[in-house]
Amino acid sequence: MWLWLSENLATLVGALAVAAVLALVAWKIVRDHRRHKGGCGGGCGSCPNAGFCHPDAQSAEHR
Amino acid sequence: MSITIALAGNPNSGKTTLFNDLTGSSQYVGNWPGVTVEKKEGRLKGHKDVVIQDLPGIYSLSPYTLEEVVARSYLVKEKPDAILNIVDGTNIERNLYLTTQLIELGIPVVVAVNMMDLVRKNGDRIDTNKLGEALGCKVVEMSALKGQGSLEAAEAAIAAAQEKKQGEHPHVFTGSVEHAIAHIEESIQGRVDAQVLRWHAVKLFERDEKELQELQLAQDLKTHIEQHIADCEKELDDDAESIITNQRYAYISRVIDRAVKKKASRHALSVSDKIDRIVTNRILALPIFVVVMWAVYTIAMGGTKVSIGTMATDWTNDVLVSEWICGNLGAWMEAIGCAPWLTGLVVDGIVAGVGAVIGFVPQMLVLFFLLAILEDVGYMARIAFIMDRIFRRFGLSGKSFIPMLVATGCGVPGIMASRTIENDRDRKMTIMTTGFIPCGAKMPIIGLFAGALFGGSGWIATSAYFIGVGAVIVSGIILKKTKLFAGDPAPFVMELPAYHIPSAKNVLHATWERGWSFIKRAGTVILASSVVLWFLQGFGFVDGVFGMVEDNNTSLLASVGNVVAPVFAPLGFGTWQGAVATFTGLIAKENVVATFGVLYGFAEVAEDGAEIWTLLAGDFTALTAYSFMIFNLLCAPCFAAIGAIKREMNNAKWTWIAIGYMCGFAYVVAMIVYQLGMVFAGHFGVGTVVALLLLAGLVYLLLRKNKYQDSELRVPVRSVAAK
Repeated sequence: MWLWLSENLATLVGALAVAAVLALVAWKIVRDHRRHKGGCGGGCGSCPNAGFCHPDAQSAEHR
Repeated sequence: MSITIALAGNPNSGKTTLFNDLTGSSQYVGNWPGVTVEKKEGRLKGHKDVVIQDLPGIYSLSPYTLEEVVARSYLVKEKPDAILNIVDGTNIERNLYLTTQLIELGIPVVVAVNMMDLVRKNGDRIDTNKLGEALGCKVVEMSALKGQGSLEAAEAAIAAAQEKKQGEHPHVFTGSVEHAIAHIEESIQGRVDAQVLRWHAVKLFERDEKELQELQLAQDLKTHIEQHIADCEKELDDDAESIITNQRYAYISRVIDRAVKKKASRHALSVSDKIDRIVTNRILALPIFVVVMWAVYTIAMGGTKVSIGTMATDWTNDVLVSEWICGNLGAWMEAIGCAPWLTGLVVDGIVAGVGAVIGFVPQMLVLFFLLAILEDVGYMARIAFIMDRIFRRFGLSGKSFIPMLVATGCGVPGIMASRTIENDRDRKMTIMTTGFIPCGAKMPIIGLFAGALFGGSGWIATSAYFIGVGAVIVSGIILKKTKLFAGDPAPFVMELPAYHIPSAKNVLHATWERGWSFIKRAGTVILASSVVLWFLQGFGFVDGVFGMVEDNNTSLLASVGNVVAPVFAPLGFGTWQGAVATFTGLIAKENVVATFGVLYGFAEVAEDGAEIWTLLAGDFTALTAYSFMIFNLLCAPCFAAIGAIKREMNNAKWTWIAIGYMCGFAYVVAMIVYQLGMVFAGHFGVGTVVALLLLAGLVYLLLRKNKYQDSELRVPVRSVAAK
């Protein structure tokens, strides 16, 4: 067991790091989707019509 | 107690710049009207109890446009505590037209004369004291772009709101008009808020349809009011609306004579006018536009010595991603004993996919930077004006071109900007065609093929832009001749702002916003897609056993891709790689490049030293690459843009019609280009005949008579008929 772990430590740590990054990415995509954010390549901060997509978020942003 | 101050003014008068300055917001200000139809709210910096409301730019309070409806509805119904009216000092006569209407609302008004730096530079003088006396309200000077006088203007508005003192109504109208208005006021007293009584009376005098609709007056009262209006019209020998307009301008003229001293005569040409004589010239405008866009795309994406974007992209691809990241990362992972599959996932999947897209960031930043300069300098507004002339000839409105200008950054706000088009058919058609314009995410596709097969020629990117514009025009002509879209084009009124030196803050902000958004997507959506793609192209069934495959032609992805690939064979790219890339482009258009990065092993350097571009050039010819590029530029946009289409159409059937039309049109154009291109290579077959038939069909649809077009010019006759 320990021998196998020590032989595959780099792979295990690497795989965990990749899994963590992917989980973070998935979380960010889902969060943005729920907030109706991020679909647009132009950036909502500069969009004059941003209030149409997420009026609450936008109003809060300015306050 | 909270105070609400509404910012009202003409488009391009500097309202949004002032809003940003006062609230600390960072909304980008485009130099064209019609993209903002919402009101924005923010708190005044340092005054938590003061709310600043930014209204869309309007020329009047008549409900001619969606912006005017939104602003008017807010001012009349929600009644802010004060109005801060931003007036462009360089165009004071036209701007004061709105001021005369705002004063009638009975809300305290403070007039802020903006662009005073330019007024002084032109040698003109505006006496704000005399102007204030004439208008019956406080007038302050400011320069929003330089941040001068902004806070003073806001403080004056706060003071006006606290005093709750309405300005005196200036003597705008002549005796007979005032007489009629007084009678109307008497008739509707008690039915409307006393504060806005005069405004309602003036609107009723103008026979404002929206006002009549909202007040729901009894028939006998309407007849009584109508009698007073008719008497006045008879006395002044004009229609009511024109009487009000003319008398407002006559009043403004008297105010200007008193308070404004112009150095140059009213008819003298300004520097902007002189430049416009060439730039918007009937013959020269279009060639200048082509040259400007060619220069932009050559500097950003060409293969010449001045192509800064390409040089930076080459370095990013060849040195940063390939050598430094891929080379070192792969070797390091192997050295520490990572399993080959993990090294493959990281290097050939994540880094190859994301790296292929990130490599194009420098080109995109240069492109966005140059487009932002053109926008800020005022040239983009001229392009809308030039295109209106061309569009109108084909039955389209120049108003449809504004969303297309916005779409050069991203299709989503472009599609959303179409909601300012009042005519439903024109709006639907604009939504359907806006996606044809190459957005930022499509740039890496163009950059990849231009670099791999066309020696980095700037003409490839320029042609992609004009193919997009051409597709809009051709679609417009074809669709306008159908029953669904027939009708006169919507009127398009826009002001050409004076040319000015671009603001570094504005340009860098617009460039960074667009660029950063692109980088963020590469780190999220593209990264996730690359991992999925790496798995699908690295695993498959060999001899009935599932596992990693040596040759990705036997992978799961190849199996699926091979089923779809024949559909694209008539377009010249019937390989599973091409088919898969086209479909992954639906997630995000830059994903096409990420897909090639994973499939062709961006990270790997082949034995002969070839990397992705060479490998790609092996699977594509110049013709098939161009056909692939055209199809991917014109076909269905990414899911985010499809979502925007669905929201704006608000109808599933119309959404499918839009997507179907775009895909069908893209297929036909790509097939014509590929099949007829093959004729030059000496190939003539069934595909050539089909392409010729499609071309003939397209020409017929373009040239056939429009049986839905009116032969007579339609002029609104409401006021004439009322005589």
